[in-house]
Amino acid sequence: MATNKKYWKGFDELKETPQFVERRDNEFPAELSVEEFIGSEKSAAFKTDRRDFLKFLGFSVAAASLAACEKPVIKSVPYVNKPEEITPGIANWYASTYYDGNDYGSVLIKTREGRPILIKGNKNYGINGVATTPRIIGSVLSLYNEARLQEPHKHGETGCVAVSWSDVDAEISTKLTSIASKGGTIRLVSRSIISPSTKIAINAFSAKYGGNEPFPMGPINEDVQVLDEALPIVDTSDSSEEVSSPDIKHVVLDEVSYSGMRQANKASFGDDFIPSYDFSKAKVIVGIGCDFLNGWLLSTEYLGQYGSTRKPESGWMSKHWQFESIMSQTGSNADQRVRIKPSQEGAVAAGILHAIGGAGKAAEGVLGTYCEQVASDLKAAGSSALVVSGSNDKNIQLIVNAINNKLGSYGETIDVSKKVELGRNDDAAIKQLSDELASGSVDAIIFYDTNPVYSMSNGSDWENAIRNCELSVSLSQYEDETASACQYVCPDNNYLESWNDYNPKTGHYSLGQPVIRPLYDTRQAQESILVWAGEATRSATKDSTVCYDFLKSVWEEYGFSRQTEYAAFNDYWNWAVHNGSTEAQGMPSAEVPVFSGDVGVAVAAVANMEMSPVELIVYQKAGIGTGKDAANPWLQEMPDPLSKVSWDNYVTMAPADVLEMFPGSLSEASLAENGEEIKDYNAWNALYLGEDSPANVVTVTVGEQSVKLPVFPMPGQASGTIGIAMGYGRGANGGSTAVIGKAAYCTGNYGGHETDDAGNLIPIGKNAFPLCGWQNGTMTLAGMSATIVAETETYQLACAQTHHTVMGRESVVKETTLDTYLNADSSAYNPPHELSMIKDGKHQMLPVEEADLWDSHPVENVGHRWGMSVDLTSCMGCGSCLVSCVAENNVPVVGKDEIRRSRDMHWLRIDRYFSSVGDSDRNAWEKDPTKNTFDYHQMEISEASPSVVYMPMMCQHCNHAPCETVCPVAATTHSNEGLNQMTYNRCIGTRYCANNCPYKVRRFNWFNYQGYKKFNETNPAQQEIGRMVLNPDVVVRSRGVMEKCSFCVQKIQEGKLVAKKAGRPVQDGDVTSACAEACPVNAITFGDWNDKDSAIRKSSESDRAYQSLEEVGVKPNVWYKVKVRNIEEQAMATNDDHASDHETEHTAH
Amino acid sequence: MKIYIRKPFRGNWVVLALVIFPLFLGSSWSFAVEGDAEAGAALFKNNCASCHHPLKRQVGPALKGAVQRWADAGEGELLYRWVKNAGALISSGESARAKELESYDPSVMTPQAVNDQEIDNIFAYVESFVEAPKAAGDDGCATPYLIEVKESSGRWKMLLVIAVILAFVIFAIAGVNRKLKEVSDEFETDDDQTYLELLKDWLWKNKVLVGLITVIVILVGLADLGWRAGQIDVNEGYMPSQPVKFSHIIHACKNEIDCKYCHSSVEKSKHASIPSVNICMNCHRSIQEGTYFKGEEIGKIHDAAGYDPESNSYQLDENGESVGHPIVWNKVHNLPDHVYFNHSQHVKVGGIDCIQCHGDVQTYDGGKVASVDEINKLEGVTKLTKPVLTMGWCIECHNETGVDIEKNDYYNEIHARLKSNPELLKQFKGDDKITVRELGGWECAKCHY
Repeated sequence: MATNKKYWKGFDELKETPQFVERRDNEFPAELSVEEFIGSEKSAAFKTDRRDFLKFLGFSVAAASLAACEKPVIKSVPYVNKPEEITPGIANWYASTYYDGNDYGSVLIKTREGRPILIKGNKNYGINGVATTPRIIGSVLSLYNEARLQEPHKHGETGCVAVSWSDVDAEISTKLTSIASKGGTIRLVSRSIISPSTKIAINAFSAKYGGNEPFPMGPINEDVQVLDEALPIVDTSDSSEEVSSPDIKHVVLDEVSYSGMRQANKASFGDDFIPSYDFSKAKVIVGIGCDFLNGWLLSTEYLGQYGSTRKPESGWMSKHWQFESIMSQTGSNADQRVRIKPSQEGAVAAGILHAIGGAGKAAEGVLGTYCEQVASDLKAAGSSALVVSGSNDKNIQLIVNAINNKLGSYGETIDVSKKVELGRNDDAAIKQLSDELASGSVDAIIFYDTNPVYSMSNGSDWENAIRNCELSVSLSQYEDETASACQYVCPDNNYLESWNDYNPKTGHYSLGQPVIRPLYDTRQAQESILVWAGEATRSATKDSTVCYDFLKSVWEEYGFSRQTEYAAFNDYWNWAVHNGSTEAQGMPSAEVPVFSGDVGVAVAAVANMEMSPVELIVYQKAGIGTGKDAANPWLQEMPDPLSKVSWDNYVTMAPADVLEMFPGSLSEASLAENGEEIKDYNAWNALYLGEDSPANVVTVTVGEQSVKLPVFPMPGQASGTIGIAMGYGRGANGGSTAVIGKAAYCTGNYGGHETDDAGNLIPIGKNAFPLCGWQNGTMTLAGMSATIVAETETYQLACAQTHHTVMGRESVVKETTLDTYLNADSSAYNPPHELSMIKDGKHQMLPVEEADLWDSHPVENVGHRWGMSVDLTSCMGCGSCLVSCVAENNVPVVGKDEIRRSRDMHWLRIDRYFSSVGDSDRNAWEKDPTKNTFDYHQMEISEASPSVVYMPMMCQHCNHAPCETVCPVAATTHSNEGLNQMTYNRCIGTRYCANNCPYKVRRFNWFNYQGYKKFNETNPAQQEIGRMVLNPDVVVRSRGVMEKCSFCVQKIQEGKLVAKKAGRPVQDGDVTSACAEACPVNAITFGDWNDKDSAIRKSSESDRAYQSLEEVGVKPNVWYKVKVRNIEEQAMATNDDHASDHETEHTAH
Repeated sequence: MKIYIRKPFRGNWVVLALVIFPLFLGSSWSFAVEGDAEAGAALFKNNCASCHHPLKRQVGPALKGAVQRWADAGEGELLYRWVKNAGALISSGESARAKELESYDPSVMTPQAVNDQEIDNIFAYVESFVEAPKAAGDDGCATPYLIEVKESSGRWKMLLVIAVILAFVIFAIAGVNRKLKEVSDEFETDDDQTYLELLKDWLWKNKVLVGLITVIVILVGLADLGWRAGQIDVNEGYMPSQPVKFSHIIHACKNEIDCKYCHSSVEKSKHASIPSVNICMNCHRSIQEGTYFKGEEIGKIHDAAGYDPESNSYQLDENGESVGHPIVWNKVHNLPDHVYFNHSQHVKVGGIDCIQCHGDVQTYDGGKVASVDEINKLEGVTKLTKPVLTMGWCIECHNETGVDIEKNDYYNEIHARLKSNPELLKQFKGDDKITVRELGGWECAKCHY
């Protein structure tokens, strides 16, 4: 389809700035100086002359010869007692579950010789299927974080003292008993607990110290014959003898609160539940400030469901409307995206309710138009519609309930019988606890897997109050912000070392099993609670079976007794552990509840919401999430899906706002330097910042709290809003020690941590939680009224996206509308590229494959030909494939400084293209950029409201690979299975191949990342423990070689071998790549193209399949599938005149 | 005493005669004991074999002829009591022979729970025992522990260095001597030439010879350098010492234990795997003393397993964990990190015999990188030329080895695809043999990733 759409990765490319043009023409800008190559800031001071060079050379030759003479003796250490299930060299997979209070997922864990090395979704069992998040996949590395606490310790007047478990238990039990006997106040603060056995353990703990009420366990539905029905009610008769019974409470505290939603449901249906959403049944999806594909409730489940509605081959696609302020990952996938301020969310909800004929209130202005459009879509879909809101405001959620009720979504896309157990924050209880702490009335406080000193807006008040408690205990894995304020720290196991169970929603139960023996002398939190409850005694080894026995007894009592399939408990238990999860039997069918919410009050309340000039949204990034794994270098290095910035957080602002704030900030200096040339770009200077040049810095103030952060101009952000990611600024409590892991702190250009004037380490980014506040009685992350002040300093961000350009070859991505796809011929949206050639004496247009420079490699009828297809319609840019690739292929972590120098090593990158229609409309707007008003044309202004295409880009394994022909040493060659092979031991590092690669997917290994001290803080392979995560089947590359995606050749070889050993042909599915396995929506298909029945063969022959940069004629083995948007044709804005100009230009090239 | 032997001897008649002959010598016995040698064999293995051998002295004496010896002493009946509880018989003082034996060997056999019939069976087996042909001393196996550790080849280098130093000292002393002579004016000469000048003169006079020698030295040096360069990373003959003096001769040759019994994952995994200690303990819980080092080497295994032979139990520490510790072996067959090799592909799929790469392992004690010449002498191997464990050797074999494409459905499928492309198939089938190379066995990413 000819369109005048322009694809651009960053502002500088859009505007063709001088810096950009310079960099584009000089593709490998980051020279490596000799000083840097040799090594350090010290040697940088010396001048290396020719004689020195010869000395180095001579010495190296001598050293190499010497080294060749004496070979090291390599040791080999077999087991003493080889476990029966372990065969060295063969991976074992175990089913388990990940849950950190924010993400939940049933997972499979790959272990090699007892070391977990890879995590992927459990496709057969569990509610999330293959879907995981980058955070879940990356969590395997956090197990090996050497900053994890290794033994219990105590903070006393003499500082931090290690104590034994028996001493800790004795001291804590004694103190608890004495506090309980005098009727004191005991508080246990945890994240939302979804583990039935943990709930029982906590109840036992409460009973032991005379708690007079059981901890809130969640709704107990009499009709539902499931586990949670039978949670024991604590017998409080014993405590009646007490003079004054102690005040014991369990308070849930998550970073992200769903309290408003529960309150709204209570008001609507009389129960403070959260229902199950089924996006797979939704024909129209409306998200209001709701990032449901990234971190919102059971987002792992929603990812897969949503993905299943984005397959145009099925003849329909969901229509996704998104109203939001920041450009969220969910919003970037929406078909229609409307920019609003957080304070307008209520008005939008009320407007939609009004437009579908409910008791809402019509939205004003352009928003009203959108609400009408949404309403007509919603009404057309009827009960197959779903409206979700990410707000924590009870009134907005109530209106959303009213919309869904009016549409009849309850019982269709919303299942009220399956209640989500996540997000159990009771904001009122937190507020009360906060007040209690402030007044000093809490005697004992125990923190389990929660970190309020960091995550509460008044965290520093909490810290002071905790220090004043008579007893304070943390069960954290790290000496984190809260733990360091507590008297006792009793380190919990990592989840990969623990037994646990989970009940994410009614009727679904899953198990977590340990896949490695505890690395340190840590103890599972449940065991600590059981020991203090007097229910168990700690055995002296780390092989304690307390939790295992307890879990088994709970499952025997509540799980085994309620099923009929297995006669013996052990069979049932083994089956449950093997699968990792189970569905309860005999679930009642969903009943549509009666909506009884008072919509009028809610609509009136939201109508009164005040709009601030600048509203702040604190959001979750795909990699860092809530900040639990802020010290995980894989996640820090993963570029954010939208901004492509790694290793930092920043303030996102609408480009127009940035312009207004920094009018030509660098222009004067630049002008003086560059003369006239830069003048044309003068007005846009501020926008390039953060990509090529250092970013401007602003101070954001909310109330009394302020943070200073760089600005990232984010296309698609609503004007008058700013976004800051949560989860940064972690570990600031450590002073000069890396308390949550080395990778969580800023590092210098030559390695080593940066320190502030006091010698303290500087955490990466800033903590945004202090800027959050309370609205309408609930904690809120969006809509805080903020002020921004421009600072004079600048800050360098590391942005991976602008490293490569498409060199004007816009055939790299293709997109169309659903209507065109369904009704038009494929030539309309996926035309083959034709070249003008002379054939049979005539000048004619012929398909590009007619023109070959080289002899073909045989592809058909030769055994295997490995191929991949990537569906751009499904791809949501989540980044799971990227992290999975890093884990599978030992891709080195290089750190911020190297990323900034375009030396990222990711074998798979996700290119994010903004696309926007022609610039003709914009010129008028530029002259008078009016803020806070919306206008249809503004939607199409490039930076203001672009649409987004995600394109995973990896080696295309071209059959006519340009890299192969230029390698002087034949280090990269073609296999007869279609692979473009990279042979590291042959490579001499000329980098010709990278220069010749049209896809820019080859990575040069600049440094000895495993040994050079620059990467000491960031590269896990430099740590004794961190090294355990490496995949032993893939070599760790050394300095000076090229590397790139191998199509996971180790997995290909493994899959082939399995087939060979079984004496059968390779079946479709035997061989997959790590990225294909990790993709939550199966956007990536991998397999043997020569197998005519394989999924990849069919996928590649689809009407939507095309090859990126087809005109280059390299014949890749990767197919992309045209992105289909469910929008009207005119929104794609075809402009044939412009397009033909464009094509002429191409032909001229 | 007459031994009734049901099972005829299988050995050669000389041995038969040797065994039977003494029986007739001692024909004065008046009673006959019937023993079942077959049942006795099992009893012997379970109860006696850890200390006794029929023919050899081990912990206890060789048992063959014991019946007769006791009968000769006139105490044939007491043998039963002796076997059941030797200590009691000694202390009872009833047996003169027992007393005699006590002075002969202080270690007393532990009491055995066997009845008379079983003892008969055992001795029937012992008397009938004939070692297989190799038992007569020629078992076809090499003698273990004969290979001496080579003296460091550095000795002659050391001598060379000393020679150079000495030469230097001689020249120095000569120089001093000359100076002294000059000083004392005793040194008279027409021209005031130094040694260096004299040497130069001499060299000039013999320039043809010197030139020739120089050229030869350079050529030899270059040839040597080239040869040495070719030897970099050639590890043929590498046989590191090991923490336990394990012998393949004893285990694989003498005891005929299959390679896969210990290297159990060779058909499953990329590693053949060095056996874990628990595999050693399968046998060495009962075989507690070896022929050559007695309990010393096997004791190391017991130590590693945390096993106490005295109490016949595994020891635990105060935390209830095994006190065992892994044995740190020295790896013999080392490939660089960037090489991926999979045993199961070669052994299970390819059906390659272990000897093709490892040589005749049962002829040497510890692990050794066999040389290609050694391997070529064996029967049934593909003859190769490049040094073992070099890439040349790998690809040479991949070039020569044919793939039996019909037997495995995996290859059948590949074959079927090829058949649809007759031209390509002709190319493959040119020599009627599809080699590993033709199926991609020479491609880099088959082994390097």
